[in-house]
This record gives sequence, structure tokens and C-alpha cells, in this order.
Amino acid sequence: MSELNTQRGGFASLRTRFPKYGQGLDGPLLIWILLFPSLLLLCGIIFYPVINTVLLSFQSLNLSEPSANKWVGLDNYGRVLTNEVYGFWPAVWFSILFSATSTLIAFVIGFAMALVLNQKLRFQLVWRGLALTPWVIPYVVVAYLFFYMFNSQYGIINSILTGINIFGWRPFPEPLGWFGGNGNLAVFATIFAAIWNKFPFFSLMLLAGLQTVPQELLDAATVDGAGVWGRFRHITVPTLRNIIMITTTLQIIWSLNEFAIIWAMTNGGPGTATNNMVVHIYRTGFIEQRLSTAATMSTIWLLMLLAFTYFYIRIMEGKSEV
Amino acid sequence: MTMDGKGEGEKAFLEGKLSRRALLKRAAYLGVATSLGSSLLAACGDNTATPAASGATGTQASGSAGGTKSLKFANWASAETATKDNINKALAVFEKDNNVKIENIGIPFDQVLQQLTTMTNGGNPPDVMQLSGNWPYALGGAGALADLGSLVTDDWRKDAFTNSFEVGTYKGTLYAVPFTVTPHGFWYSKDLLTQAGLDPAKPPKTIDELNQAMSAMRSKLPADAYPIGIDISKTEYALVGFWPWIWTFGGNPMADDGKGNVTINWADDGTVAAFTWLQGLVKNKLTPPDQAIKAERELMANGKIAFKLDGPYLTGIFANTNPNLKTVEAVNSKFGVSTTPTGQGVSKPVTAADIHNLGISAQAKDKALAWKLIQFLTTSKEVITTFLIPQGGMLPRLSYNTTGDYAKPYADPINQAFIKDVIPSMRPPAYGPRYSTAASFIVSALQEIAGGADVKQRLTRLNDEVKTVYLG
Repeated sequence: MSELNTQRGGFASLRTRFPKYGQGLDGPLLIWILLFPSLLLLCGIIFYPVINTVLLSFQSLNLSEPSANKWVGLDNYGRVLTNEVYGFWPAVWFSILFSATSTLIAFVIGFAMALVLNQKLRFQLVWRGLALTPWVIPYVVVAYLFFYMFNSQYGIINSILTGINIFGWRPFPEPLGWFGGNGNLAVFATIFAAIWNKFPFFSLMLLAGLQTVPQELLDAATVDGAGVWGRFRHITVPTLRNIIMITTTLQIIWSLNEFAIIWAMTNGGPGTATNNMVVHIYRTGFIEQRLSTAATMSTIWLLMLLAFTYFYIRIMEGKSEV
Repeated sequence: MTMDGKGEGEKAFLEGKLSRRALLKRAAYLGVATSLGSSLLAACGDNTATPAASGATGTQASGSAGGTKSLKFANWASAETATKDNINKALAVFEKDNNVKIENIGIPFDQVLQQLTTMTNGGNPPDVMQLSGNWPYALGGAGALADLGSLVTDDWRKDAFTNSFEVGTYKGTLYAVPFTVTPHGFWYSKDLLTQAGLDPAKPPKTIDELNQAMSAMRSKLPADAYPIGIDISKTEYALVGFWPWIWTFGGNPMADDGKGNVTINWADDGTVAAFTWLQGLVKNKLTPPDQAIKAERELMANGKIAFKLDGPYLTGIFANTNPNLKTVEAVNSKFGVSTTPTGQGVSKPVTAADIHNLGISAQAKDKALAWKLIQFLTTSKEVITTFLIPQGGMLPRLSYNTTGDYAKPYADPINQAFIKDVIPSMRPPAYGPRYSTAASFIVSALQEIAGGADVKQRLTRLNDEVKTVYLG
């Protein structure tokens, strides 16, 4: 693009450097023709659904009575944001809790795993391959795996817990109802499944980053008297800062939009205990058939995610500059 | 474009710098690119169709192709491994006899309403649909289903189970006819009754007797066995199993006057009593705290649940789950079926009218042919012997179950209990276009109360939620 920002103007400068530029199909027309299919695909796949969703949020479309659809202005926004019945804020809070907790713990485990895998180990490739296994298993399979493991009647987790016997003391004499009760255990179970599924992503990315940390810097720090913690804190982490920023941003956003694990394990229950925003939107739109309400929630959620991403990246960029 | 309005190519051509062949080549490239763009733009366009326009679309999809007519049949039978081959075999006979091509659309049970709604609103609905529970009301109320009133003969109406046509009727219009009748009866395990020192020939007939039996069982059965199974999943189907208990305790939280007007009171005394009873069951470990109906069926098949409300098809499910229950005789020797125990709210036993039915799309072009398929599905030997009887539900005509060639599989005590006692106790819930939305809130409340939430407080909140659904 810098070629285009010359005093003579974009295409004129290109013509100077490349005499045949601009002649026939080698000029701007070619650029637009080549871009056209991609732009149209973008229009069809991204912009049209987003615009249609926003338009739907100003209507009252309920699939049980589609003929009664009409424009309602900002009514849906007012209801969703202020009326408890719509369950918007509890879903937002659970989304944040789920995303922050699962990302933070997955990051810590993933980083630790990356540090271990970065050492010279026998069968290094095998260990690295095994460490990635949870990440390559499809989300739905992971969800059903944990659904059965946590099942109160025949799950292996309860078998292990009820089998614990420390000199006659049995901390779990009876099986736990993981997907019942007040929902706290279900929250734990879904976050646990998400962590198991996500930590290899951090391992993979941070392991790649660790291999770019200059050895001479680490050696110099060692000579200067820095210990393991000092080298990690003052050399390894700053070097990986950009990777950490990108991976955590991506994972937070992916986790905020988690669907498969929660839907397959709990349907958002018990009650609304594990109802995150995406499950709530899906349930509202497709189970309850209130499409416009779901579109309103989607639009607000989109804006919230955009705002979060903007500020998060600004904050991380600021730290990076410091 | 240059300032004088001529394109670079055109200018070059006029100045003799571009050959005619090169100009035509460029024009061809541009044409291809433009037409591709137009196609993609069309794909980006609004596909919402008015009912009339949708009808035209439907005409093309389900019309005749090369002299052979075609019909689209949406059902979950084709999406389930156990029934897929049988329904396909039966439909092949219809295709051959009528020179019709059936486009068989298999949809998983829990996605049927969503898919049918989407297809209908997209202007491409199936001609014939297999339906269940509230779906005829949801789709009929939205104008998606045809009125079948004039097509059903009096003979069939007279030869039908109690309320089996009523659960396909909304505001006086018949939108769906019975396909297979499958209400929940009160299943009991004879082995577990015996193990608890109770008479296996005398299942509880009242709520008091049931509570006493469950207390006796809790003290004598192992910890991993439960006296009763209640579906506490976050699904609309969980309500089919809980409505009978709500009514039995005297609750009537949602009542439809037959004209679409619904009276709502989720905090009435009977409903509070029913939910309090549920909470007590979980608290006292009389029912598993978090299981859905499928898991509870497995538990019951393996001797871990003593009582349960479920449909007549449970015999087949037991046979597939436990090798010791492979035959109808084996199931009858270990289990029995009775009506829901009675409580202070009812003078007679009651169960939810849960049936599978068939409807025709309002947009179907050839409704006569669609009706012919429904007649085939409900009366033909092929469907009855290869699909309906193996599936385990009651046949859509009462007499088929009691006399004639098809009656033999229904002669065992469990099926006889369904025919004589359970089906006559069927009562439709307050089904309607907004029922499914309300059900989503109700099952959330059911889960929270089972998990220990304050019953009265939570039901009062549920009342507000359901009123919002119906009244806006």
C-alpha cells in the first residue's frame, strides 16, 4: 500500500515503476475483478447475516406467529436489557465466568505443558503429539465424553470419588448429582471439560513461541545471575507477549461463544445455571422460536464482544510498548 | 474509465493498439465476472416468501417430474437407526403402487419442530409431516398445516382412542390425525416391589400408597437403585412426564378454553404441592437427581428404578437394552403397567395425551395425494406390520388393536393395560402456538425446584415468565 501513497498518486506511481501497469486487464480493473468473488462471498457469508440479524432485532418475528411480525423499533432492546424474564444478564455473567475461568486455567496448564515440552526429552515428538490430543478431538465428542464421565449414575468420576477411602474416612460416600442440584457442580463440570479441550492450543502456540526465545539472551541473563524465575519473568514472558495476547484474545472470544460443550453436556441447565449467551440465544431463537428477541441479544452480544476485543488489544498493546 | 467517457480498452481499440480479438476476450472476461457476481448477489438476497409465493415454490418441489408425481414426507422414523429400514420398506410399496416418488426427509426427533418451522417459513415445507405433542398446535396456529377435518371419515372418528383426534385439533380445526398412540402409563418393576417386601400384583393406586411404597423401597433397596424415575432434563418432553403428577395433585396451571385463550396460574395450590413432592423425591433420594428419560429407561431395564411413567414402546426399549428382556413375555414377567396413581386433585387417573400424528402442509400442491399417503401410513399392512407394530405404539384405529389380524401383538397384559386403562385416561395439556416457548421456562423451573429452589417463590416467578410469553 505504501507504493500507492506517493506524491504522484497511487496508480500513477505504479505506472512509473511498472510501465505496463494499468494497461488492459493488468490495471485496477483486474484488481477489482479478482477481488469481486471474495467480496461477494464476504457479503453473503458475513455482512448479509449480520445486517439481517440487526434488522430482525427491530421487528417482532416469532416463528409461532410469523404473520404477526411488525417493526417495533427499540422495544426489543429495552425489554432484553431491563426485563429479568429475558434472562440476558445472567447469561452474560455466566459467559464471562466460563470464559475467564476456562481460559485462565487452560492458559496456565498450557504454558506449563509448553515449558515441559520445550525441554529435551526422550520421545519428544510422541509427548508433543499426545499433548495435542484433547485439542484435535471435536468439541461435541469432548462434551459427550465428559457428559458420561460426570453422569451421576454410571460415570467414572463418581466411581472414583465414592471409591476414595482414607483410613475409613470416605469424603464422598454417595454419588454426586453433577447435572442437578443448584447448578454449581454443573458449572464446574462444563468448565473442566472446556479446560481439558483448550489447554493444548496454548501449549502448541507457546511451544512455538518458546523456540524463538534467543538462547544468547537467556545465557547472558544466567551469567548476570538471573535464576530460573528471573529468566522466565524478564526474558521468556516478554518475548512471548504478542503470542500470549493473540492466543488469549482468541480463546476468550471462542470461549465466550462456546456452544457445543455446554449444549451437549447440560442444555444450559440445571435451570439456567450453565446458560451462556450463545446457548441462551440458540434456545430463544430456535427452541422458543422468538427470532427477533434472539436477534436482539445477538446484536448486543456482538457489540459487547467488539468493545471487549478493542479494549483488550489496546491494553495489551499499551503494555507491549511499555 | 478515462475522462472522455471511454474505457481504456475501448480507447486502445479505437487507437489501433488493441486487436478486435483482444477486445472481445476482455469483454468475455467481464461478462463472466459480472454474471458470477449477479448469481452471488441473488444468493445474498432475501429468501422470505409469502405463503402464496411459497405455494408456488412448493408446487415445483412436490409436483410431477417426468410423469412421476413426488411427495415430501418429513419424519423422525427415517432418522433413527431402529426404524429407518422399516419405514423405507413400507414407503417403497406406496411408491410402486401409486407411481409416486417419496422424498423421505429424516429429522432427529428433538429438531423436528425447528426444522419444520424453518422449512415452512423458507417456502419449502414437506407435504406430509410426522408430528408429536404440541407441534400440530404450533404449526397449525402459524398457518403451516392444512385443515384435515373434511378428509377424515366418521368411521375413523368412531373407531379412534379417546382424545386422539382432540390432540390434533386447535381452535376447532383438525390439523393432525393419529399415527400411533403412545401415552405414558405407570410402569412398575415386579422384582423391586418383591425385593421391598411389597406385593408385585398390587401396584400403588393412590399417591399415599405410592409414597408409602417408595419409603419402604428406599430403606430396602441398594443406594444405586431408586423407587421412581422422574425426567428432570431441560427438554419439552420432560413435561409430558410431569403433567400427570401436576394434575394428580390438583394443579391446573395452564388451561386452554378451546378457543386459544389460556388461563395461567403456576402458583396454584395443586401445582405447588406437585413441585414440593418432586423436590422431596430428589432430597430423599427417591429419584435420580439429574437424569433424562433415556438414562432412566436404561436404569429401569437394569433393575435400578421401580416406578416410572412411560409409553408402551418401553417393551421394545427394554428388549434392546437388557438381553434378559428380549421377549414380550420376559418383559411382562418382570414389569407391569397401571394408570397414574390418583391424588387429591383428581377423581380418576390421568395422563398426558402423548401421541404421534400426521399432518399435511397448507402449501402442499396435491393434498389428495398427500392424504392418500396418510391413509397408507395409517391403514396399510406394510406400514402396520413393518413399522408401527415393531415400534410399539398403539395403532391409530382402536379396532386394529383389539380384533383382527393385527391384534395379537397387543394381547399381552402390558399392552392390554394401555388399551383398556391408560389411553382412556389421556388428557391434552394446554397445547398452543406458544406452548413450546412456555415449556422452555417451565422445565427450567422444574430443574431449579428439583435442585432445591424455594417452591412457592420459583413458581411465582415462573407464573410471571409464562404470562410474559402469552401476553407479551
